[in-house]
Amino acid sequence: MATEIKMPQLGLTMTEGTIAAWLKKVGDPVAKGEPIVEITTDKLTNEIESEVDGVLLAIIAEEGEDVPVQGLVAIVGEPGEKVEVSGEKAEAIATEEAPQAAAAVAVKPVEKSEGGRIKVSPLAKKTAEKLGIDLSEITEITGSRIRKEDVIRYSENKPKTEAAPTASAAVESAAPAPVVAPVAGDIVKPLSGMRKVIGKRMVESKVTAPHVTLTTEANVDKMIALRTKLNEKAKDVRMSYTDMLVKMVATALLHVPMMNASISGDNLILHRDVNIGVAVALDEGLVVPVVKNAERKGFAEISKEAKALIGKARENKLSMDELSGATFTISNLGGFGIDAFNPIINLPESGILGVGRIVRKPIVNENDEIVPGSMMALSLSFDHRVVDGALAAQLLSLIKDYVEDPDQMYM
Amino acid sequence: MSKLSMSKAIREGLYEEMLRDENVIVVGEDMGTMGNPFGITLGFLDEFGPNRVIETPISESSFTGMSVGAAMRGIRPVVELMYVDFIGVAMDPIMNQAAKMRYMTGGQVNVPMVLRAPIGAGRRNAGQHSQCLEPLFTHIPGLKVVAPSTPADAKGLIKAAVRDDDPVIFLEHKLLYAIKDEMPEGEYVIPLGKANVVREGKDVTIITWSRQVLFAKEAAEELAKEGIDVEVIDLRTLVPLDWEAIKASVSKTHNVVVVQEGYKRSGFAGEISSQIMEELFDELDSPVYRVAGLNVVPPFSPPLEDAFFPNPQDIIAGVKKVLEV
Repeated sequence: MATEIKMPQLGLTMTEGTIAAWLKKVGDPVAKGEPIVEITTDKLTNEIESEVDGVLLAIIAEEGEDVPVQGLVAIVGEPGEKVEVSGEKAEAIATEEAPQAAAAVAVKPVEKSEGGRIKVSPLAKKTAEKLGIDLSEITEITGSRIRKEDVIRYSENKPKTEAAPTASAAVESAAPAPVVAPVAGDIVKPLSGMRKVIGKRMVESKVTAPHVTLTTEANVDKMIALRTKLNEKAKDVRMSYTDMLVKMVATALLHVPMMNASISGDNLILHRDVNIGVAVALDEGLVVPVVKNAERKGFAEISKEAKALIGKARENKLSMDELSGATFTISNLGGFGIDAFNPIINLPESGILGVGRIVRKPIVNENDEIVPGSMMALSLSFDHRVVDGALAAQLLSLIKDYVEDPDQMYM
Repeated sequence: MSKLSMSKAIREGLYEEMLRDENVIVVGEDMGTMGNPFGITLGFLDEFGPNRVIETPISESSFTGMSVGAAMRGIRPVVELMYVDFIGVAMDPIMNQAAKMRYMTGGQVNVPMVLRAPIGAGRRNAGQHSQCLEPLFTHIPGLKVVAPSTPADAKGLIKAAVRDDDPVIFLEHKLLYAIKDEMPEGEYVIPLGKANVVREGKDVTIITWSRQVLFAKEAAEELAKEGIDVEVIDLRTLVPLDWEAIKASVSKTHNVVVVQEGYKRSGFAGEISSQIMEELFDELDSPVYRVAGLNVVPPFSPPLEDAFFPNPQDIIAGVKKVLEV
């Protein structure tokens, strides 16, 4: 009996997934639990496993195709079994074809009156402005004046490269890198779904959000002492500096709510919750699981939660919900021996904290004596559309205050 | 759910209001024994007596003036003009007294009266008995103007008109009186100033009122067969105008046809179309078009009268003109 393989819902917010790669071909035998296709969402990469033993009878969604949750992806069944593509997919195909048939509208050339005036409806004019289309480029209309549908039709048929330099268009044109011909000995490897998603999101962020990075150095002697003390007392928790920073950043964000915000159209959304994303490096890329409501949690709770999330990240077991909803991100490259770096904002967040390694340095203390101290670089990249330097500086200096003297968090 | 004709629905509404409030009286020609030409006050004389059902001679100017005076003293008269065409001789009490009293006395006096008047062509009644004349009233600040299209609306709106503390002109299309439709159960009042989207659509909005709502719905059904999705708004109240309803619909469909039975020139459709162009210009994908009565004296000749006021085919043509299909 044929079994339908459908797009799973990997989180509450997931509405569709993209077929990244087929791991099996039609006719290949598959075992129950064996991955048959790799899918990506805007947040994660995952594999769909076969629910039964059998043969992959049909591939319904091709690579690169977006499939809604519960949409049909493939059919697995007995060898030689005949399958019929269900009505759902057939309907989808039919509805896709319908607009094409309707698109064959009778058009005629735009007539210009004396003085070169062209007739345009107010709505068409507004639509053209929004899409960045020069009305004089529109040559075909259905009625006596350019109407909205004429603008839309022109916009849809226009070659993509002519698109106005909007942010999303720039992202598209920036995405394809220059073509490099491999020479003998080179290894050619297709980009994984995760790499493609990371690439798209990083370019999008850099093009959309004007980044400014502020950097400062903090003396972490007291933080080290606190960590040592807490880790000695606690039996089941081994707290990392990142765990402590999650709490410190969350507390600081409560005092600078403008940095715990997202741009949405013409509005700024100031988030009630402080959800801190923690960048986790994997062999194949990077994921950012989220510690939700970090402002309400203690060091121990954050630490346990972060450990669990990182563990799941390494096993590619994170759910969509565990990857969604961050309002601010921390990326710590201290463990890789990095002094400081300029992190890229994870949109739609407004800021990201880049954390460098802890290094012993000579410091001039308040008595003008040179003493040794442990220093850590903190780099805050912020979205200049949302806040200006002064407010971002306020956040970074608050974080620095907490790092240098964690007792200040109780103020 | 029971069905009622519009004349019976208005009768029911008036009857309920007269039972509810002893200050409500009806005034007009043939209101008593005959119960008005359309039976709207049939039986009222026996039930409420001659002090509350005042049958008048043919004297529109005096009984309208008398009612304005009574309203100023706290009575709630529901005055009937046998045809709206007769408003000419009674215009001063309406335009200069009823409409202005609240404002000119600084709010010391108000005029809670209703002027009911049958309107409309289609009964071969010729020039003096076939007009709509809404703009004579919508033009005057201080008057509210209501023109229902269904029995259910007529009942709910006449009750709201009676309860309103200012003068309300209540226009009833003669050819709607006999049309039966379903009535809601129990007592209800429909607030003035609320339009009703009687058919939802996405391609074009028809804004209309009174009998033309029925024609617009007919036209919409025909157009649907050709794949044109028409939204029909029944204004129900012309003043105050439900601008939010118009705005929402125009912002959705971007194409507008305003339909009225009365003369096109200086009609209320022209007012709506101007307001849309002033306020919603950027939403428009085509010029607002009016489908309206011809600028001629209503003819007696049946074929000529039929050509005088808009029918569903005229509305279909108007929609196609706007959409250029």
